[in-house]
Amino acid sequence: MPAPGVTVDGVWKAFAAPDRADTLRDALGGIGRGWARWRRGSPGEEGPAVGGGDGVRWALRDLSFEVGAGEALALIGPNGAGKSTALRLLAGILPPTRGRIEVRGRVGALIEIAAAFHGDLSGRDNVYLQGAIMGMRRAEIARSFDAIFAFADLEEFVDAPVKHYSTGMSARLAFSIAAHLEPDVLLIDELLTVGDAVFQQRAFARLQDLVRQRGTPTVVVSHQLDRLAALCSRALVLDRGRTLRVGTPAECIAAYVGRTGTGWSSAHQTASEGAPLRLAALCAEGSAVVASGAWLRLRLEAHAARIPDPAWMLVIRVRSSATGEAVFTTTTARCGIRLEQSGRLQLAVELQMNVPAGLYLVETEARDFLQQRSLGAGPWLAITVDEGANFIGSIQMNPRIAVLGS
Amino acid sequence: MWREQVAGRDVLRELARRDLLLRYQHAWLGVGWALSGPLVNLGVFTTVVAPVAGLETGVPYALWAAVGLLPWTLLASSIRFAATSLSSNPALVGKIWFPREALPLATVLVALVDFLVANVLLVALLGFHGVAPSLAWIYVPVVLAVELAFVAGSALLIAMATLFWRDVRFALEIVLTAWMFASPVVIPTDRLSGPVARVLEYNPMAPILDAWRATLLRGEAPDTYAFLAVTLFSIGWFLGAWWIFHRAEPGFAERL
Repeated sequence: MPAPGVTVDGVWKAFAAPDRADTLRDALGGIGRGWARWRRGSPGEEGPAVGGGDGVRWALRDLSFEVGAGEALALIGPNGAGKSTALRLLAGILPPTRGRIEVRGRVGALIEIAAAFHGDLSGRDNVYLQGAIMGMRRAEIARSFDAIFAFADLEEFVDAPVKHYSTGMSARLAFSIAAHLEPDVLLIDELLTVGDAVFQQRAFARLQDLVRQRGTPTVVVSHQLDRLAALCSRALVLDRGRTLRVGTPAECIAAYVGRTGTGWSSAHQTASEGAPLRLAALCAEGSAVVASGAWLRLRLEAHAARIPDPAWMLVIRVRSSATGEAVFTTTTARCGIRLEQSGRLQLAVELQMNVPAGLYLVETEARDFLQQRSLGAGPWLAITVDEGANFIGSIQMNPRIAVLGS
Repeated sequence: MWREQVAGRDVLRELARRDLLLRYQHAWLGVGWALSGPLVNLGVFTTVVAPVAGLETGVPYALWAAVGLLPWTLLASSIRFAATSLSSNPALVGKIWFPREALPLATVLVALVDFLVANVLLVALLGFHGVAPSLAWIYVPVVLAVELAFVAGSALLIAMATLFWRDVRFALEIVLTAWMFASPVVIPTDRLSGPVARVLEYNPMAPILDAWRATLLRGEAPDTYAFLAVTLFSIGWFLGAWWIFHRAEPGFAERL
């Protein structure tokens, strides 16, 4: 058997536009056409034709990497960069449009680790079902059964229906099943956020053990940059499907968050050409360092290839790089702005940074909220929040205290 | 490939176990579900439709209809549940790799257990009408296996079709109703003639139901020619469906 590992060689992935025939009525109108469209897949040399652009959306462009024993690769990038798509390709759920993917050995995917849970069944039954779906044999599950419940600290609840578990308890059980997979290759999608702080620590230690001690080849997607730096030996920065940089985690995180400053970030301008609504640039007015509680002023530039649909909007999302969590999301629609004209659109955005000190990423995206789909991710910006003068706690409340008399 | 099938067997067993546990958690409720469908149909057709229409079935009508309704319910409920088995589990199908055929096939296993439970009804009716066990009953497992092959193939295809075309779900009920009356389930179709009869000759459920009645009610072996034909067809149908399912599988996640 060849040594466990992952080879990704020149992989492209396209998603068909949702205008395909997805009803029998449409399909009967063009069985031949539908079949041809479904079979279609060979991209042109440089991806889709530029133009109207509602056609094929490229989620990954020419991705290549290799992960062998003792290596852990972090995929870094903003929402819509193609990280999750890459992981689903590795898991074998999506086929690549072009290129070659080879995964040697049994895959343990820590993706949707509670997908098969059913509230009416006991913890015991759920462990057997979820384990089987993740690829464990019944005997293996039986062998690890006690360890799974011990790790999750749920020994007393083995026979209780999972609907009586708290959210944290289910999350712990789900992680614990996944942690006992003993795979040859490990794929992790953002799950260092389960349970309470104590369990998170234990879960992370378990992953470190799998990755560092046993040397299981690993690919991780996460927004928790600190954790990635501690877990991984290498990193790869993705931006709208393209590989921006490969290197040590420290280098890549610096490259990812390092796009601060006040100039238009021209490096991003070409990436989503062809989208009907694309975000061209994002920059902070003045400095990219603000005090907690102070206002962050941003400029956002978008281009609409035609008169925008009423359902189109721009999304602005603030993500904490410590927890990976999106702490705040807003849209042009929520702020009462309708996109009505084609061509260039400039927006001034102000956000009051009522958050604790730390590193935050402001991500942008164009969305069609009726069809629930992304029109493309936009540029991002890293913002450093300094502790304000009167900050203790987890939210900035901008206190005002006045003396009324004594 | 082999490993895939072994892993698939575990998933299949666990999925079927989940659905059975959920359904038979309260045993009487489970049995009630399994019996109520065929029982209501049987009651309506025996007390209302058969006397009014003056149906000629050779054996007591209730018995004749029961041997039609139970195998038909096995087909109909498998297909009904299989139809949404992929599309109603987006988190499983879209995010995790596992042998996906386990989802529709598990619904067939559940329908099979319901079928076996509902056979209590048949045994009671056979006893009531004094039908003696016959040597021909050794054909029963064969007839069941042939029907299961046909049902499993249909389950795989319908699960896939619902994923690719969302409106299949709505067409399904209409097709099932029409199909039931085009098969000798509660109304005999053997006295039809003309173009309708010629079309119905190609209905695979007709020879399967005929085989059930031949063995159980008349104590005969199934009609050799017709049964052999439907056996070969069912095996081909199942293998073909399996092949198509595997060919289409890489596209499933994008269809959710």
